[in-house]
Amino acid sequence: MLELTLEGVTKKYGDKKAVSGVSCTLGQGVYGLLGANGSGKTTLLRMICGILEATEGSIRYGGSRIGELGAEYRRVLGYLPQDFGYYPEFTAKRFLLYLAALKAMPKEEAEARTEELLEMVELTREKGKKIKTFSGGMIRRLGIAQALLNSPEILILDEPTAGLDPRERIRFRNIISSLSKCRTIILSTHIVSDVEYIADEILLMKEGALLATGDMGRMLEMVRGKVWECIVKPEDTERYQAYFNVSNLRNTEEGVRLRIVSDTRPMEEAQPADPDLEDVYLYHFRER
Amino acid sequence: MEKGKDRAVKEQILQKDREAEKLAHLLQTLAPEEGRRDRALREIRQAAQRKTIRRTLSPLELAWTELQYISPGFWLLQGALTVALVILLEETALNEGGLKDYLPWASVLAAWMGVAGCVSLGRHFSRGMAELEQSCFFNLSQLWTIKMALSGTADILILLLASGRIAAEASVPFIQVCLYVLVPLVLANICCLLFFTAIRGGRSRYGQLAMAFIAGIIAVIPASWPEEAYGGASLWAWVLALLCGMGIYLWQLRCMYMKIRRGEIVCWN
Repeated sequence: MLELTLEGVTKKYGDKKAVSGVSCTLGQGVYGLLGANGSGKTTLLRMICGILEATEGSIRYGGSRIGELGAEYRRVLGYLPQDFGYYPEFTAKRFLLYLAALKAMPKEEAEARTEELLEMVELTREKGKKIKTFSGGMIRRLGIAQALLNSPEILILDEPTAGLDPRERIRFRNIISSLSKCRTIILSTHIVSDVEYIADEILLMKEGALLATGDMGRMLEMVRGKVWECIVKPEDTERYQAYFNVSNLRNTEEGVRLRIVSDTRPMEEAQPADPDLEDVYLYHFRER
Repeated sequence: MEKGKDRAVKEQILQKDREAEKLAHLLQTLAPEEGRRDRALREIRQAAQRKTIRRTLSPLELAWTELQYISPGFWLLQGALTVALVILLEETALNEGGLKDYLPWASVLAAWMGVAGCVSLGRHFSRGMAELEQSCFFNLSQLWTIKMALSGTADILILLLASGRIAAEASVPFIQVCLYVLVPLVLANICCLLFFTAIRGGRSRYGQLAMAFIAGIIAVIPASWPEEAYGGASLWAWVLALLCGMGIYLWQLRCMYMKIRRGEIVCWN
């Protein structure tokens, strides 16, 4: 399994840096790229796919620059863009066969793989229907299927669960988990639970830079002792929300139970709580 | 003493010979360990199955694939333009028209054929497929090249046939008529690419319709020029226009390919 190495990858649009000096090495496993909207996730993924050229730095696969590998790199790549386009008059099957041809797959193999993937994403019954008649979730599932067509060694999924209902999301997570052997999967999202369940490694991105990387245990350790729970009077809730980062709020018989992410104990009665990934996210992306 | 030594050496040699014979006999009776052999063979078979056999389509196969997936709308539009060209050729010939009677609509139809080709290229962007296609083994630049070669060849063939007919009917040299018809085609393609790269909205479906309208107007302008513009004395100007047009068009294409490679116009948000 070859490694994907990013060294000081930067993308500038004029004076603005969309991605700033990202360096990391990605091997086998699922990597969850977590960040707010506009944090540079999509730009970084586009550069990893070779669609956008980096202004500075390099991306290497197995030690060779991806630009030099060209088509041979694209051969091992599967990509689901955030704005997944399609030809509306194509049927689901025709669409997959078209992309299989662009991925240089032999016809017989493409036919078999298309059927297999349509079944996997539960679109077998709709394979003869035009894509323009599909719901948002069905289109997303078709997008996931096309990314898997060539059994890619590097699978890049940009916001794959957007538009999927809870059942479809769970199914998607299971598919990704089953695919993680012998592959590098990079999953970008701002939905924390998607990453929480399937990512082996988490990459936190903020304002174009990698803020923190590590497995779930390391991430949680970063905010241990910074998550608090307390009960406040209902009329004080707004005040607390204004001063602290409240990750959860629940009405109970004794009052309002607040979960607060803060470096210091927010009030005398506050008790430390076990952190979860949402707390990690809130801690790094806090505005206060 | 010496004799005793010799006997001992001989004895040693004989002993070794006997051992060697024993070993040779043993080797003949040795059978391979079936279990281990099967396991090794199974592992080799599995490794071979895991190995993906990679194959690359030839440019001809790719062209055939592209032909299969070009939208029916493109073929309908090209067909409609060709039928219109044939009808107008016949009608003008029936009315015994001269060169100036053929040129206005022949120019407009030539321009629209160019626009139809550009619209077909623009579909990758208007449908938001460019980004995905650019990540495939055969990427957007290769798809564009093949599509341009296919639609360009079809356009030029149709227009050359039409030029032949006009040349015969109007008694004007064939090459001269080709120039009058191909200049609008090249101009329309330049306009399309300019519109496409300079104006973001030009990549949308409505943008492409607007482009067709503008190209049609531009193409009809040369036909409104006075008779002298079509005389033998002005031929050099047409040749120059065609060469310059082709130069500009090639330069535009180069810029376009560079932009696609850098991803500047591929990502639509």
